[in-house]
Amino acid sequence: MEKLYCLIRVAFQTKFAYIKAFWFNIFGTAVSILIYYFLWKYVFMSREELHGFTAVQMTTYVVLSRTLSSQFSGGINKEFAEWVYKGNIVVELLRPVHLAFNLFGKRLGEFFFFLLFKGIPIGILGTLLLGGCGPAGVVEFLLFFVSVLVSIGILFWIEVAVGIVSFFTLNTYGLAFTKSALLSILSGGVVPLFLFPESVARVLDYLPFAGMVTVPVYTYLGKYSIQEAVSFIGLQVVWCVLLGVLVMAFYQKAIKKVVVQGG
Amino acid sequence: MKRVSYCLRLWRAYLRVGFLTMTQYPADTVILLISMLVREASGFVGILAIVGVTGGMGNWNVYEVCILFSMCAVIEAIGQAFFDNVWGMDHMMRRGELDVFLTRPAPVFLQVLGQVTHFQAVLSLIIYVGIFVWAALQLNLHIGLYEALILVEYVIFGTMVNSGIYAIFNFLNFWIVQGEDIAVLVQTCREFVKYPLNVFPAAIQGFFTFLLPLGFVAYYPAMALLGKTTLPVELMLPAVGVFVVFLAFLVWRAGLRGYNSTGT
Repeated sequence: MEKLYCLIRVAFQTKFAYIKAFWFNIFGTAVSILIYYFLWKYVFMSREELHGFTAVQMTTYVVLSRTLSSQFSGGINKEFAEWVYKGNIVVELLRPVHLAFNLFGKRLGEFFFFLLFKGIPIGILGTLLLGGCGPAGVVEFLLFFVSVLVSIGILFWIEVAVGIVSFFTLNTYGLAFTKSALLSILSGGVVPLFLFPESVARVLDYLPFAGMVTVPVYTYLGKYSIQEAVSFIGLQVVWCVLLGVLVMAFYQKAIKKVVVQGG
Repeated sequence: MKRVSYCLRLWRAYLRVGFLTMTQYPADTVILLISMLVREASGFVGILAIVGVTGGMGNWNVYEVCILFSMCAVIEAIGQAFFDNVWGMDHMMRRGELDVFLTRPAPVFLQVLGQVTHFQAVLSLIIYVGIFVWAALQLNLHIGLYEALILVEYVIFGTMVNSGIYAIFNFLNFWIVQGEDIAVLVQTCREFVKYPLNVFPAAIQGFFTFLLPLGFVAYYPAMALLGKTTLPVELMLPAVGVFVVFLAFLVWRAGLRGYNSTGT
């Protein structure tokens, strides 16, 4: 536990050292929120509600979903890939803590940084400035946080998987872009999943991706009853464990293949 | 004249090298292509889903939105294919790679551009052209002399505006460290012009028309094609395109004149 704490702290401080670069990142998120805010505002000029969403709820959805999905562009897959590319992976493999544990600590540090410097400020500011609504209730609000926390587990395993793929290719840039764009679409980060064809939307609801945006935001807005929210979060946990097993198996296979370039 | 033909020969040689690089790393090529497509797709899926529910966006129907989106993507793909290395300025200056080009007899900017060509973008370009043609057929778009003129102008001057603006902001690297971040900001703002600008508040429309004229990349040409405007777009496009490139040229010249290497 102490080890984990130290890893988290180091990652947090590293991020903090580059806080200037982070302003640009925040600006990017703000732009994407504004685009969808205006698009939806236009849509709601001619109608009262859409699929049970009012204009205010949709604004909240945009703010929260864009903020949550802005995490997809970061993540430890870049660092992981860089280790492979530069050969540092050798050192990392020799460390007394497991590579996955090490990476998880880093991921958590990044997440707390995100929460403190982006998630909470943008969530509050966006809601106040653009006129969103608060959480449906205290229980919903707590469940929202639980769901976001669990989603980090899912996101972590996906990032590790993407990182492992970089064992086989050098184009980690393309991989990272593909990851973030795909996750945004599939999780409901671009538009709510109900806008997709019904059969597609139903499948996506139960895939792990929905757990990263749709489940927390729907819970926050009270679109799910408490019971539904709890069972969806349960599903997230199942996915998290399942992905963990799969990715670790993949890792064991791939790590044997590592050929580190000298130099 | 001899100089021009020399430059063209050099450019062809660079393209050849770029093509060979692409075929050397097939897996990377495929990943890059997919990433290009998926990146455009995420915005496209968003607007399509919204328009699909509401039946339209402003006075733009689904097919018109497709036209606008594909036109915007075509220009970006051309930039990615042939002018992508303006994004490498930051890297080249910090590593002192630019110094190498300064010692050679060919134009420095041509050498900068020649370093990177992404032929993958040509493939994605074909897909966007396909979307454009499909949407145009659905709309029964009449392509007369005027529309053909607009299309030709749009490809030439739209690219000039788009890549010119990227270049200007990347050239800021001459004066500031990490100027690339500002260029990325500009690229982020570019997201706005993929959507019908008239949906956004007047301030944003004005911004992308007068201050950062990215609206001329696809929005105004698309309006002219679809008969949504009475503005003389066929005159505005060349004016804005030439102006942006001229500005980029001035910034480049000033930057290169004041350039002293990183000293490594």
